[in-house]
Amino acid sequence: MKTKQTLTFVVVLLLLLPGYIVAVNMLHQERTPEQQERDIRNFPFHQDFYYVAAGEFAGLIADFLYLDVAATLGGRRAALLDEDEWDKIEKIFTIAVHLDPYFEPTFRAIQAYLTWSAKRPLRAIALLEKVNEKRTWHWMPPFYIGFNHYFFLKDNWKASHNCHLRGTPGRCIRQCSHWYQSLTEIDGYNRKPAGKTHVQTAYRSIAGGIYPGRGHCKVPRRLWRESTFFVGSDYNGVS
Amino acid sequence: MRNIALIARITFQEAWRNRILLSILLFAAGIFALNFILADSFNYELSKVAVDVSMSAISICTLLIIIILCINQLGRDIDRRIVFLFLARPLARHEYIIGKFIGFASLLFLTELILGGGGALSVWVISYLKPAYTVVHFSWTIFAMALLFHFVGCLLLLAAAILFAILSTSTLLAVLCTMGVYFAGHYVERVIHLLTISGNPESPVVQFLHAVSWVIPNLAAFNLKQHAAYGLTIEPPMATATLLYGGIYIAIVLTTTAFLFSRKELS
Repeated sequence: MKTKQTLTFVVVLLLLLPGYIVAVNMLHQERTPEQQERDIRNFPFHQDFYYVAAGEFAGLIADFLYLDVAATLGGRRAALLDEDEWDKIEKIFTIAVHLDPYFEPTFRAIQAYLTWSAKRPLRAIALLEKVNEKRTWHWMPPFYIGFNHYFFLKDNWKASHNCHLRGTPGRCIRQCSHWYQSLTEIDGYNRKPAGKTHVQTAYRSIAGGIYPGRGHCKVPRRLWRESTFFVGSDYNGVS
Repeated sequence: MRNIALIARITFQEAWRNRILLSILLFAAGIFALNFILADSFNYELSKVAVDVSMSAISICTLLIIIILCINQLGRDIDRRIVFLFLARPLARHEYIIGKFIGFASLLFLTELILGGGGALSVWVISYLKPAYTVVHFSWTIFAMALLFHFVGCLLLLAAAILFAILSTSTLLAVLCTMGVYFAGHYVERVIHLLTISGNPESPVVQFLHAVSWVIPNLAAFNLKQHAAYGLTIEPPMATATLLYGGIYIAIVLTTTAFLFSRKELS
């Protein structure tokens, strides 16, 4: 009786095993990293719903949402996204800000993707303003808002109005002001394609907060000088 | 008082020996190890991610302890008539309830201490290895306060769990009711807030939810994860009011439980 049971078990297992191997292979083919990157998570409900549903794990879910967006956008060229996909990304950012308005990687990603890649500076400003209301100790959100007004919307008044670089050394504020001023004054500069790229790359460095974020003014100052006087030709290393 | 201490000690020892607790602690250890990998996936504010993961792991573990361990043990005591062994002694029924509560509370405190210590260690290691990516205003005092508030929140849920375990005839029902209190306790305040700012604050739904919020413990008030993650300050009046609310709520629920248990027909 016992031998019969064992035999039945082994036979059933052997019959199921090929099916399992086929299924696993099919699943792996379907779920390639490229395939998964193509799927941007869809959040159909209003952000308030997710805010309530997240309960006490709102912070953790905001972290996860950032990682999800970073993995999606990092795994493919952001430029390849269509408007519908950008709508989904924007929704994810909106929910992430709603859940945790303080989180630095989220608002940096908003600034990096919604403005430069998605060309949606107004939406980025709206989200950054929510961050700015909460993250009162950080100079970067108002700087981004000011930068977006200046660079994307060409609204110098709002740019200067929003450029309160709180918590940053005074000389950084002056540098940024000079930067703004110098770029508007050098009229012929932006018309040169290479020069324009330099300025944009340098701006990305500043707006990305890579250097001023750590309290250093040295690099922004150098970038400002270089972009103004055309010193150096390659900014890829710093952007 | 001696009776209460005796019940508390037996409850604590019995729960401590349970293997469920060991698996929960192993799960927490796994989460803390994962913390390092997870936090490393982020570019900035790694310590914030570490705090989020640690505090969330603590929340899940303590919730599991209350749901699985405490309710099960109480239900088993009544179902298997173990409770008679206690009540046969010169022991008042309210002493049994208070003893049980203190025993479970001690267990939760020890768990919180172990998990909180593990969480703090992982946050400290991450902050030490990558100081440039630590949240600027991070404070250990606020981290400790967040743990304390979380512990008090757990006690509220524990008191409700004991009430349901004593009242209901099945363990599953008690678990479901406790889960309901847990979710409602975290959601009611947010729902009221959202309905108030987006709709009519005088609507019957909002009024009903306001009434519910008097009965359901406001667990969201004890959730200071965001404060711990960013080092946001907690205003002393707010902290005092929250702790006072927690203390009085626990006292009311335990008194009710003791009263109902003293009238319960045990057969």
